[in-house]
Amino acid sequence: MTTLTDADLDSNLVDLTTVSLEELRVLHTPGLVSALQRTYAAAAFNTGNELQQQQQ
Amino acid sequence: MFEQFCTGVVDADTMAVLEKSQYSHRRLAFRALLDQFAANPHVVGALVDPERAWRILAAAEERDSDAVADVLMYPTVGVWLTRALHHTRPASSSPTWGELGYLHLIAAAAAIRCGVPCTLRVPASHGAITLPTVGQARVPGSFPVGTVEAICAGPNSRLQITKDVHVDLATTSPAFTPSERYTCQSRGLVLRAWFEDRDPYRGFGAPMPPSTLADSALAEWRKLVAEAWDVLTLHHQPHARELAAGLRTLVPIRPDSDVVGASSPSAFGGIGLSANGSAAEIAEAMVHELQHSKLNALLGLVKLVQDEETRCYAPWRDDSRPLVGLLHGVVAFTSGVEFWLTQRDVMEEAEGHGVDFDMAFRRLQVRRAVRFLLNSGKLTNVGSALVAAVSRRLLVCEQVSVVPELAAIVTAMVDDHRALWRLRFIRPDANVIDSLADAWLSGTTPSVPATADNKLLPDDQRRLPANRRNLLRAKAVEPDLFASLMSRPATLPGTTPRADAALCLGDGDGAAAAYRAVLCDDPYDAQAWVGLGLAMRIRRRTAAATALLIRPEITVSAYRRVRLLDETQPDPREFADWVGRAL
Repeated sequence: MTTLTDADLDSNLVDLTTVSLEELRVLHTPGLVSALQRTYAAAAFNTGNELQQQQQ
Repeated sequence: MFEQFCTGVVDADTMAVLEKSQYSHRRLAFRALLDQFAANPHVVGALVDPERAWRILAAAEERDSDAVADVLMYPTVGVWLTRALHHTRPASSSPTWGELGYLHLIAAAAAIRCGVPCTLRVPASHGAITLPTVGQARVPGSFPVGTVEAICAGPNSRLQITKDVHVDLATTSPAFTPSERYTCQSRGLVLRAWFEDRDPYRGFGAPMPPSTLADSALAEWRKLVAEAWDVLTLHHQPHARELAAGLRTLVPIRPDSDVVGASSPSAFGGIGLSANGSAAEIAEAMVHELQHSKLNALLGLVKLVQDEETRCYAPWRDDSRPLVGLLHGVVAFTSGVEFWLTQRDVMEEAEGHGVDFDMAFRRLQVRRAVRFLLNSGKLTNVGSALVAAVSRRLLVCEQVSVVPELAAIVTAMVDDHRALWRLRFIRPDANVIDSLADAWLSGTTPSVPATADNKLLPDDQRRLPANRRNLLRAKAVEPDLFASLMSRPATLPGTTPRADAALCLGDGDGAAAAYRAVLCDDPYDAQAWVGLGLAMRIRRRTAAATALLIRPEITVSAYRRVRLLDETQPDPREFADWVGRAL
């Protein structure tokens, strides 16, 4: 298998590159709400200190 | 897109898809942060005005959406955003103005670039105000965190320090250093990336003070990166094109660090590079780190592993890693092996020996990890397809033979590391150990289950002993150094210097005797146990070698148990041989 199908992709993906920031601040679609919940869940583990390092 | 990803190199169109998905995630994270601030206003503090910052960003986007995208996608902005989301969760301790105020710096940077007139207070940290993609101003004083007013007025923007003192954000201002686009051109291929040595989040973690790298060190770094780009455009054009499409920032790593390259899941397109190495090594580090960025973007689109909890052994790390971490290593190191495979054909013979070592060493590490991942049963279908594709690429690399002595050295190094890791982190099932000890003491045939209820201990900060592996590496690539070290074995570091020297010289009998002597005094010496396993392999005592290199945690725990229960001290070699025959 070397081709991704829609089923393989995260079915909850939302494309926010086409939504203006002004609109994004007040958007409340079910898809966005789910995506926000996933973001909060991930934020519990992602500290911002995760590094990939290649050492000598 | 996925098919291309599996080949190891993507084109500009696919890179754009990955980047766009990351931008969508970043905008989502910004929205999440603003909601989190609104729900927990006590964490924000009096100085930060998130809604105003958002309105400024939105106004800037209306004028120039590309410029705002450039600011929001800046790698250090991603690091800050991830940290801010984590540290402002409900019940978290409140971050400082110096940290959260970075939101105002982001908004001010966008306002300046897009010509949105506004005034916004921004933090000055250690006397520096850093506006992502705009530049850094230095103000008098080195107080940890202060506040200045950013007056955003396009080309006439300035920082008002006090009522009477201001810094113009113009190239003519001695207190302001504009952000620099680092550009290299070679053979018609242009590498264009922000050069970042000032932003507090440039280290992909907690905020750092302004850079103290000397001009000479920076000049050396720039020269080496330019040479690395030349290597890439000469011999690795697909990777050069990929880097040209995907690289956003280059961060110089301090020359006294042992880190060659670094990147972060929060910082798509951001790469830290040290100047400690040859141009080819730096080129390889660039290729390697970009693979991490690509994989992070793919992971944002599709699930590759089903288990995010389990931690496992990674041949290139001293700690334990989640499956996705192992996947990262497999993807990035395979590109590195392919890089050296190409590079070895064009290098001088003297350099080629080191390249053969790097290639043979890494490909064996990656092969072990690939095998583990494919047998784990914890990859999704897409994850399995990716690892299978990597495995096929690795197979091509494995067709290139190296001299048998080098193959033996890298095998010893990889086995040495794995066995030391197992002794440090795996605690075997106590029932298995009791059963083995009872069998030894009663003279019955031992039985060792293929799987047992092993326990993985938590990580600690200690590195695994590398003395013997360093010696083996010297034997492979630095024969003069190796000869010098062998001339005075007693001065070698570690707990088993003479035994290590004998082992590295191929004296299996002498090494086994020396390791045994150490173990009779100290049955807890992990270096000696693993060294004994390597020595037994040289002596073709396969069962003992298997016991000590494949399941060392069982063999060593059972041996210690026997010594506790009985006054006799079994010979470690005979005991390992006895366990090995049951495996």
